[in-house]
Amino acid sequence: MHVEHEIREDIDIVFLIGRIDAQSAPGVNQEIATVLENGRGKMLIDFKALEYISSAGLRVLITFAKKLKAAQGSLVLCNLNPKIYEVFDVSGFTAIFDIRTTQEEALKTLGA
Amino acid sequence: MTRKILVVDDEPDLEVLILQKFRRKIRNNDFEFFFARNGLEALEQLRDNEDIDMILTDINMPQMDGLTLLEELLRLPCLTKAVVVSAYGDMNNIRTAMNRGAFDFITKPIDFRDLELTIDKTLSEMLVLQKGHQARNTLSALQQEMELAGRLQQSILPRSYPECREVSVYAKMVPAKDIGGDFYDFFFIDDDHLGFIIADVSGKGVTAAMFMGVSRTLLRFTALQGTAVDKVLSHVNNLLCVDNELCMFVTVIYAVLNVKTGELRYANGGHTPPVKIAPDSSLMMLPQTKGIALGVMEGIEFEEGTVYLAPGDLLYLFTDGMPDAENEAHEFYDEKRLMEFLGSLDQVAPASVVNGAYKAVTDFVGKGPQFDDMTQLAIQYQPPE
Repeated sequence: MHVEHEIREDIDIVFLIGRIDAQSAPGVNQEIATVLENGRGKMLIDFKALEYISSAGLRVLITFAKKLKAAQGSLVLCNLNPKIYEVFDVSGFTAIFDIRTTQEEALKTLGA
Repeated sequence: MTRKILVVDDEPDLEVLILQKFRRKIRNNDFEFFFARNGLEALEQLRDNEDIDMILTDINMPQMDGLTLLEELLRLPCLTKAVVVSAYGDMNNIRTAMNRGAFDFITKPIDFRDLELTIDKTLSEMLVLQKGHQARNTLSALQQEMELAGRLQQSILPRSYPECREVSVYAKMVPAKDIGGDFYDFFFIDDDHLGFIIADVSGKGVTAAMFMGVSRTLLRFTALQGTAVDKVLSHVNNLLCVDNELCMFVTVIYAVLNVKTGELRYANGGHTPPVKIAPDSSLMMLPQTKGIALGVMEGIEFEEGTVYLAPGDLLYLFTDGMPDAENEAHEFYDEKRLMEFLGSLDQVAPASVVNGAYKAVTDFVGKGPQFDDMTQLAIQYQPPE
């Protein structure tokens, strides 16, 4: 599991690569926290290369959604594969997160 | 860090020489020397000073010689390594000493530069051993914590099935290695109403186990007031959102069955809905009702669903540990296979459904490790004619 990071204008694009489970969740948490610290409050998380996410991973995402909300920032998710989208859907998280199909759409939402 | 060295020799001159040759290291508190005149005195010193890092010992001494001392050291629980000082060319004694666990040897007359090198080498080795020992102790403590989390989880589950002729209940929770925080619960709210719950706490370990305890208590307490199913979830959700810095959440199904009429009311907090299995094995997954996992956001509204159970209908509830079970080829068991299994049952009865499904999943998983708790709850409605 690893995380890659790109900056486009004032948006931080975070790529999740591999699987997020209870083992790798703390590492992912750390890496996104660093991006958040140095960023300007607009984050896009791209799930294109993510195979699997456990509840530990969902917890990490919820934590950042809350932090960004509290800091008046925005978080958009994109490129979720059908299985992962279903996980979000069943647990009702599709109602909490702003989820877009493509990266383009997501970037537009963040004002790019 | 001051390293402690025990020197064992019957010759008093050696003590004087060592204190002189190593005076700088002694002054800088790098080394602290202890002295014993024979093996017996050495053992006493070891008893009085538990943190001695290494021993430098002569072979020929009265009362207890160096080789016997080495034997005694093997019997003690301490990690301390010994270097022997032997006569030049005394291969027999050197071999015996090495076979009895000596770390190294130097010969007389003592070359103090060689001695210093040997001491440094031995102390480095000791540091590695000591770190390994500490790591093992930490691991042991963590394992004990896991066991505690496991016991906590078991103690939360109901200990016996409800005695009621209209329903038959069976449940099974098999925890993952790291305790995933699943639980189930059932209780009579009044003579006619059986409430039941299946839930899955996010994360693993002791934190999940504790959040599980809190969730289960809040749910049961609120449910026993006879509150409507959707209100139970919204109320408990608001309570769980307070002081939830770790952003833990729990997915839940809460349902109430009227055992006299077969009416089932249910509400869903982000969990896969229950499956209704008719006596002829036909399946129906109950319609999803509005709601999200509990503990994420305050003020969420939930929806109440209603369904009627016909005599012989069995309601099957499960957590994602079942469909998410993986075999060694990294294939998921998947909901599809689970539904196929449920639709192919010979006998629709709680124990056989639950045990059968568990066997089907574990057969599929084979030698793969269990990542998540596997929890199932089956409730069959059997009103008397």
